[in-house]
Amino acid sequence: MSFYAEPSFYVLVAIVVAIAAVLGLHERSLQRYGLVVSVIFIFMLFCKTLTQGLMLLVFLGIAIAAERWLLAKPDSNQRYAAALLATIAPLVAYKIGAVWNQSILGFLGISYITFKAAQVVIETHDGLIAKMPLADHLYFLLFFPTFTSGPIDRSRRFLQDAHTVPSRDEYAGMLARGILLLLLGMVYKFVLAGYIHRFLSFGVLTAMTPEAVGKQVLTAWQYALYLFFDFAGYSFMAMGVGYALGIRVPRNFRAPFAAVDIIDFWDRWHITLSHWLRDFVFMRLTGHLIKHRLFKGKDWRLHTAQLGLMCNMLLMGAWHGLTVDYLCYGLFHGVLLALCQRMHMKSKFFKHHKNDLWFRGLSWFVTINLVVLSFALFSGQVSTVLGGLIHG
Amino acid sequence: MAKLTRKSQLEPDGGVSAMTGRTLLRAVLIGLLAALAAFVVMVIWVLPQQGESDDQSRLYDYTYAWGKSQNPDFVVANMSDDGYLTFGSSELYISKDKVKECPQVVFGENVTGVDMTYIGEAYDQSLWQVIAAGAYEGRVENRKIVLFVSPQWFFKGNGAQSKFYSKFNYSLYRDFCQNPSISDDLKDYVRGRVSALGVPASSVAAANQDTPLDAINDQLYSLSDSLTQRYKLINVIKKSPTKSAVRQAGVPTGEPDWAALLMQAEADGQAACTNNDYGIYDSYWTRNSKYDPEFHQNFSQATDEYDDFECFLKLCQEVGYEPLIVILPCHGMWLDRSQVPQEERQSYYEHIRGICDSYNVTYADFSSCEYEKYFLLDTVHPGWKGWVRIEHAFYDWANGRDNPFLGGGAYGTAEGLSAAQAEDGLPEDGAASDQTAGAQEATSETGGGQ
Repeated sequence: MSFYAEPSFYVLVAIVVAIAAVLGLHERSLQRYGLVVSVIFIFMLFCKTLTQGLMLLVFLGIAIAAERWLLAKPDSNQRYAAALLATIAPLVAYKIGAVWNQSILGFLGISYITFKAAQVVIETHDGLIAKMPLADHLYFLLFFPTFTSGPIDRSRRFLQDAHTVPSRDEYAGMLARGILLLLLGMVYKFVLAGYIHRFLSFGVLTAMTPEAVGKQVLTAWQYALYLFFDFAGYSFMAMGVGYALGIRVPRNFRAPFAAVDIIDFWDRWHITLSHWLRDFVFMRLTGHLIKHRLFKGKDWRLHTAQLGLMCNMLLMGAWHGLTVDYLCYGLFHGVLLALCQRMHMKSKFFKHHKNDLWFRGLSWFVTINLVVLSFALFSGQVSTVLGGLIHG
Repeated sequence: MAKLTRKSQLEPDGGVSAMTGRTLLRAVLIGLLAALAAFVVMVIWVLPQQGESDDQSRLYDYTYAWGKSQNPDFVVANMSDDGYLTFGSSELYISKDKVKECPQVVFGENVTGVDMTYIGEAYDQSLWQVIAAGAYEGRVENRKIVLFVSPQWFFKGNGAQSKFYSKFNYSLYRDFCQNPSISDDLKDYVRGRVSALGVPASSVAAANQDTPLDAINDQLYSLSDSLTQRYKLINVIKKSPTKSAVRQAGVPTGEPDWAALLMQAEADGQAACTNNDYGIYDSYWTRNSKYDPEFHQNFSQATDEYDDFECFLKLCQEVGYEPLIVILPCHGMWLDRSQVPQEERQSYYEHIRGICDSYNVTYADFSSCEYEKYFLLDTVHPGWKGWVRIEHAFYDWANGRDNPFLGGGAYGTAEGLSAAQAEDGLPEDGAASDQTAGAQEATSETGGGQ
């Protein structure tokens, strides 16, 4: 069974939500119920691909063992490094194997569960997580509404919700919002994204005529809108089911096409991914760079931030897949963020005009077109067009 | 209640959101119930039913409209008592506004004892026809069916198979899968093919009800598809022509006058084709003559399509259909211009006839009409003379008579155009008959016509 795709999923979700509603409105804890339901759903997810299910069990074994081992001595840098490496190793092996079309240790949802498992390990070393009971750990990692594609929750926030039994009225509000989010997500994914997808067709650039170029631009815009409605729709649905189970799954999109610059964009698009990378890659990398004084001179802060952003986005591209298209997508956004950072920190013109309506309008227009171009890199449209031009 | 609400709004923390939460939930549930009620009203009272149409003043057999063929319940409930299930693709779109000699007029506006009940749309190739024929099987008593085979299906890369994904219909495939008369081997073959052509695994598993979850999916996919199909019926009914007075009266009009129809076809063809020598109607020529999609085409890189076609005949054999395979010709002059050699074309016809012969199936072979002017309407579809010849052969086959174009099965060798023209008793077009003779020679050299 595919989550959020097949009708049987929605039938079963309706049953799950109905039972959760009865429990929640009677002010009963939903944690045990949520865990049992998640395990059943994940069994159904892998019932036709048992090898993948087995790989998930291997992953869980590694992640839980690594966390327990680290919890015994959380200050140890060696244990921390080993635990973190062990947790991300299956994903790295899978991504490298995918370059040669080999699925090594791979299973549906490996990318997202790795983020969650790694966060637990990192925050354990940071001293923010002192204990991680098995049931909590499993529930956080296997929570079925967000299992396959996020949003990427944080364990402390997630478990706080899981351990809290909301009042009847508070739960009623969460349930109502959950149902609305689920319905909104369905409209986004099945009506809007489905409609746009019908007209989406990638093709080579046959001639450098205004019509042919215009068609490519139109395709890029269609794909950008399709990607947004599809992914935001899915994310809303995941939030909705999460809310019904008493978990306030974090928001993943906040009107991304209204962004006025690229830094603003990453605060609106796939928010849980960009914020995860910000907190656990960018902040730590720049902290490391500052500590070791890699950059000197008067612009050392800017250069440090720029290098951090570039690494952050390249990693994001690599996480999508080790292909030229994804790496270029990451690099493109890294460069844009680095330039935007420079503008924010150094440009007097920007500081003088940043609140002017004309400047914000122009900045919005440039941003949205750069974003659409980046999605054309992501979808492979740019490489297809370039390949067509080169090979004739 | 108002007092309570005010009181709750004054409560510190949770008080406001607490009341808001319950109120919001009530509003959401009322909204859901209202939406459900609206849905039920639409399903029961607004959408047309898939069975017999309320409007019996219309003739539905010859309607070519998106969504008709995917509605077997509707097609069968509204088909003529004399109807023969006629599977095909874009040639079925030709209505009387383009060709006055089309079946919609010759059979549909008269009472000749036969009708063609069209099933299929543009780009529906062999595999689609296998699924449709399997889905319709068991609903109609008449075991005789017709299949129009287009040469374009067998062009390089299996014709337009890449479009199969967009032509796939869940309900037809489901009915095919659940037809007990079809063997598991044949179902497995079709399953492999639809999967290879991009139909989602979840749809394939649902139609085959692989697991209990797939069975749930099947119910919901079917419901969703049946609602879509019922919605499309609004347009299907609107596009269906009103029955002619003769048809309404129902008094038999006898066999059509084929000679008169051929003369009319010649005259109509001449009138419609004034700006080219290819016998292609004017506006099509103006629009498309500069394009040449057939340039250097061949018929030797379509293994999958030939296999799918063979699968159609195998299906007929399994379920007891008695098919007539209509072998449409290429446009001889046009394909000469496109440098598709005569031998290549003849080898294609021979291949199709060979497959038919291996299943002892009857065919109406019009390959000898490649050069007959006005046989085709454009570079692909049957036109004025073509339809008359096809209808005549179909009529003879349906009535158990011989016809110069019928071959295979009990009919032996198809004599072809020369014999037909001799029977017509009409003056021959010199240039056309010369080239026809050439084509006939090539046919006999390659062992064609068998």
